[in-house]
Amino acid sequence: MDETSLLTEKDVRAIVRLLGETCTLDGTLNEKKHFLMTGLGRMIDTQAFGWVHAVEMVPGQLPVYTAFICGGFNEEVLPRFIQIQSHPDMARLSTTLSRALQGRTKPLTRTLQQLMPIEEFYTAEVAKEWRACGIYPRVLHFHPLADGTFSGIAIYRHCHKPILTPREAKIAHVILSSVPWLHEAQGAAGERTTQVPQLPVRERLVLELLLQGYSRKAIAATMGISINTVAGYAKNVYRFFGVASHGELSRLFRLS
Amino acid sequence: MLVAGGHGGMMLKDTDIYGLVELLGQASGLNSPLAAKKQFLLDGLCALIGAEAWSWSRTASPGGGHRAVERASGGDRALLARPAPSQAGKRALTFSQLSDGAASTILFLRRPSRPAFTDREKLLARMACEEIPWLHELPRELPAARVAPRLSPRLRETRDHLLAGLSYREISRRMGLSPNTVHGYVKELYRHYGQHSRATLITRLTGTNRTD
Repeated sequence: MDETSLLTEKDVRAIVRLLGETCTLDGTLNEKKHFLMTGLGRMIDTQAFGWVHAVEMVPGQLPVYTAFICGGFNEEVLPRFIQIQSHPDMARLSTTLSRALQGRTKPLTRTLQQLMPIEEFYTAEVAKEWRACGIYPRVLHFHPLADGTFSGIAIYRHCHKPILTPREAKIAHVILSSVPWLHEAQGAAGERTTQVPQLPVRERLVLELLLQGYSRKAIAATMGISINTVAGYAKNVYRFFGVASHGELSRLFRLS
Repeated sequence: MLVAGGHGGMMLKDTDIYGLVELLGQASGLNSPLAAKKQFLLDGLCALIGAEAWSWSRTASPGGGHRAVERASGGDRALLARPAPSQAGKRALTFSQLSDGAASTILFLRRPSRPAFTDREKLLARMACEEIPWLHELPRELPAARVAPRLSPRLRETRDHLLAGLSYREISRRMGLSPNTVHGYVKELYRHYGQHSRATLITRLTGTNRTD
């Protein structure tokens, strides 16, 4: 994939234009990520993206993601999307990826169909969840960070649309592997995020939804549990990080 | 495999594409004014295409006489003092375009002793000069943050309902809130986007670059 170019002059010009526009932004890191990822989505006809700090990628185990930055999901879909990441199927479906990332120092871009037979994906339980969100993950990009963790970007396209072509995946790879700040973690630096794997899965999910600004009521509705249970999980999360308020929690992860 | 250019036979290799895109990736990460990014990009382009100097100039009116070098850089500024680019022949690349009513020209120069620019070098420079309009523009203050900071989910929802043209009453019904709460949210949205009326807010939101 790295040796041969599938790109046309028109593609390269569009990439140059998008990055040129990105230079003129003076917002925060996360705002720039939104701008660039949305622009990339326009180029390759994808409708949503998610950036995560992938703290743990162990083959056969559920990947541990934190500090989600998402775009293109509406308010109804976003919490479901975050919840999908802890679906048991995700351990199996991300095995090939986790294995490819072991000891890797260069960025890796893989389309869904490169990671698994596409039929295996469509028939997995979790594919139903994706369909309910209206999108499938189409291409994944993982960027190794200095501390052994990864910056991970997933790009999503509507379910009824075809899989990504090699050219489209290449456009994503060229941009995602060439923009260093895309992989810097405004909201995920340091020991706070490396502690996240120690949290139980349910607490992890509540943490991510809290960081996205959802109320306990909304989280309860998403997870199909009572508000009291959510409040209990939230309490555990606060205690774990030694904070007393939502504001403090957000500041820890530097999302606000 | 090579990329066919738009001018018959011009080719770009993958390494050229990565070189250019990585340069832009770095420039977009600089925490400095646009003028400094311009300098960084043009210096980087020089390195990429093997040029020794660049200059950027604007004429007051298209075809007008006055020509002022706004900025010049690169390893060998003495090159810029030599005869006009037309006489430097194949060791000069110029890209001109109209910008704010003036003609802007970016010039790349190579020492006469060196070989002429190749087609792929020309294409790389052309793509950058044609697709990045602010390389030709006068430095100015950027418009206030073009992307808004992140809003809370409820505020985003309120904003989306407003954009859909719903009234306060309808929004409050849909969100299960009192009209007073919705009113408070809308006030927050006004403050967030620096607007004072529903009409200007909607214009602002539907204008450009609404990424949040």
